[in-house]
Amino acid sequence: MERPLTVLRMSLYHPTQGSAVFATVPQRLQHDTSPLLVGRGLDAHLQLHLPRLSRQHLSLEPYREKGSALLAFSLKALSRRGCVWVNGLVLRFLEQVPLSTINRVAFAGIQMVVHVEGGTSLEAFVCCFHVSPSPLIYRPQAEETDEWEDIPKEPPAPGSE
Amino acid sequence: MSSFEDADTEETVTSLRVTIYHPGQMQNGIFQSIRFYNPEKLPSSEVVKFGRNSTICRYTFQDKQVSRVQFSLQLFKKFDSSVLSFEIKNMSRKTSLLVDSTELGYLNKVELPYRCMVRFGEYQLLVEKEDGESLEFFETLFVMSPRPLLQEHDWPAGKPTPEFCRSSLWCTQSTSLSASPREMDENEY
Repeated sequence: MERPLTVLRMSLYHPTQGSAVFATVPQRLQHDTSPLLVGRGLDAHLQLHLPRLSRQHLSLEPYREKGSALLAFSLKALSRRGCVWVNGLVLRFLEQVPLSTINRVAFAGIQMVVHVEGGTSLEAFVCCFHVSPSPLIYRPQAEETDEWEDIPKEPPAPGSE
Repeated sequence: MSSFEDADTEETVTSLRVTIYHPGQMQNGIFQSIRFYNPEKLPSSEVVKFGRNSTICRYTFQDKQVSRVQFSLQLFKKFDSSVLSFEIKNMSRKTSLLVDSTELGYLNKVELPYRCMVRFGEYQLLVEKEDGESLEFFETLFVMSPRPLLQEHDWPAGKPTPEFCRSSLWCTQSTSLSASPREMDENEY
């Protein structure tokens, strides 16, 4: 019997609705156990069309915690110039953090909420994408996450604004 | 002005020195595709794979007992740290990877200590890291050891230490494991 795949439910938002930013985002993307690359480049598994984005901006890497049967994920910033805001932490080039069940991510003006739904398959995982018409993360300067000087120091409580 | 004076200031690079031993290395040519004593500069974002499949792996072992991808190494930084670290991940579904006395199952990963012994099957790899400044590149250097490393470096050849002993049965089973996992998978699927 086939084991159920881990599902990453990913909601995406960018203020320029109707633009081509998410034009090539599929509804569903199945991926093996290699890191999933997100960026502007042709080699990115999730390709987003935004000039401010690096060709490889971040990666989502599946792995397994010792003693666990389920996949876990870590997010690594791969942009030399930009950075990635993850659950209140600002990651710079090569910095990496583990993801939890629900994760708020912002980079280059894009907002992304990643919800991890664990499955027992260790062969692959699947991403299900939804483009949101409204902002997903309410915080000041959420679009400025690739500018060092505009990085918020403290994460606001979700929904506090 | 000379090109020497005009050149960018050189940065040191984080380096990994990997000393390898396998009992059949002189007969079987298992390391024939690895260029020993040849420092190689790799981009810092590369996930370096070791295994049997030459189209996927940067460093290949010509040995049918080795998985197509046996393990991977990648650079990373802990949040808010200036030090580059390496992470090793077991990519073999059936063969355990030992990092010193820590046993890694499929897709388990761990940060490499500055000096550690990595083992799978009959392979022994002494991995030594040296810090550098560059965020763009890191360097690898492979050295072949004529003698087993476990004896040479007096490394504890003890049994793997399970981190999670949830039942006495599991503990009993794990402590009966050989220090050198014998089973080698094929990842043929």
